[in-house]
Amino acid sequence: MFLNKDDIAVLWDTITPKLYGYLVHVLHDKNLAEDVLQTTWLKAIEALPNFKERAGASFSSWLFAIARNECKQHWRKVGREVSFDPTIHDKEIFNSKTEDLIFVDQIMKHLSSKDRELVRLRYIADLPLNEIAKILKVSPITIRVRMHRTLAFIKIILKNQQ
Amino acid sequence: MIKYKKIDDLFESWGRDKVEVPLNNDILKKEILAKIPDDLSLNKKISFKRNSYIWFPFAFSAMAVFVILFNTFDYKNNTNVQDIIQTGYGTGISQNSDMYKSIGAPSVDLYHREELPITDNREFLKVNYNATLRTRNVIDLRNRLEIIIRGFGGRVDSSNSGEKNGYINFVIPKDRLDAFKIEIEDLVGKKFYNEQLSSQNLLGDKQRIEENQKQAEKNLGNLQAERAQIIREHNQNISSYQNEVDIINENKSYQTKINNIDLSIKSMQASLKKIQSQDKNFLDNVATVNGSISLNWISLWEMADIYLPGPILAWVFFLATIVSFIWYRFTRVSYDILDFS
Repeated sequence: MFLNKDDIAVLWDTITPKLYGYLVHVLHDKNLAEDVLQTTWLKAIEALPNFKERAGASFSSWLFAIARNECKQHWRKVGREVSFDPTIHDKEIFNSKTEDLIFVDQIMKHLSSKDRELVRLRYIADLPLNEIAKILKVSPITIRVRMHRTLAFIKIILKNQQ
Repeated sequence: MIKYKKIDDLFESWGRDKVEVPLNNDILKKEILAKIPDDLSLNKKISFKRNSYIWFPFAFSAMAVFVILFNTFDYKNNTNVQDIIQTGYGTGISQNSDMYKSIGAPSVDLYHREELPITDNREFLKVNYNATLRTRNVIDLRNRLEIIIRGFGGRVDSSNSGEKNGYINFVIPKDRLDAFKIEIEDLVGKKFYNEQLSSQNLLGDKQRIEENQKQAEKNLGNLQAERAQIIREHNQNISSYQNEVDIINENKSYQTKINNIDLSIKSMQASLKKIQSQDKNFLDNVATVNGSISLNWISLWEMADIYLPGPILAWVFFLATIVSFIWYRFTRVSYDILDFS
């Protein structure tokens, strides 16, 4: 399979909005998200000859895996994962357009970091569960169970809110 | 009732809401596309693929070498750094004797012993000191050793040295041996110092000297008594003889006897003096320590081998294990990216 600049441009247009949205939600900082986005693409291009489309893993999930590692490296440099702080982070990250979506933002705060990551990859990155399993390096069954539990937990939260 | 499908739809809607393009999307895209080489191919193989478990064979080799070498050989025998003290009883061979020179220094002779009376429990221990020093600078160490030996009131009998080896033969007073040993050990450190001490009771020699002296004194006494007897007999004969011829003959005989006995006494006195001199030499010999120090050059590899417990090859593998593991650990994140498929 050969890729030229036009193919990459198409991939950029398709994946970047999801990837950028994911990074903004993870890092809580749009400027930092742009930096990580750029680094992720550069690393992907650099390592592209080594990428093999195997077992259904897509270029998209591979790119998200690189982005996750970049975030980890960033946290390693700063010493820890930084949770959202409205005084230093971009406030509009949690400014959803409708009331329902604002409610989802609130629910997200109640989830564990692992479950939050799962939800991000599932709904912002729009990745299928088997590819999420590859990114998180667990079995697809584990991911299905975790997803199910997360939704059950969200259901309980919703029930309590009503 | 809230259904999963509804929650799923809600989150899908939330996810779509979060999707956005960066503010500098066009600039970023242009920059990324500019970095793409013309011949970019997904099927292109990279020549180097790092083995993430490279540290494992190193660790295994280190363990294997350690176990095999440590169990097969008596590795780094500690006698190298321990004192070997040998003591022996009365072989009767002193270092100054001809026998010593012909057969060399007597080692501990546990089987062949001159019969010595058990009642005589005196000790005349002759101590021999041998040391081996390992150093990076043989010539410099030899010079320093000579200064130390003279500083301890000793005497350097012979010395030689080259780039790799050296040797010093010396004598020092016995009462300063302990301080001397400490000084020498401090020069190179305990790990590079190997000493061997041997001592031997020269009671047999002492007894022989005493016996000779006793015999000489006895002989001298006998001669002196004999002389007195000759004088007494001569005086009696002179007083009893009336004839002048007899008296002349008696005087002649007396003079001859006296001359002979005086010669014997003189000879015996000389022998006694010689024995006393031997006794003094013997005591001087016992009061000193004959020593020799060998100097050997040591390589950095050997130094490392001395300091590290166990076989050095195992340590080399162990070090390789740590380096490869650290390398893997610190570059694992980027490697995971490359390996993702």
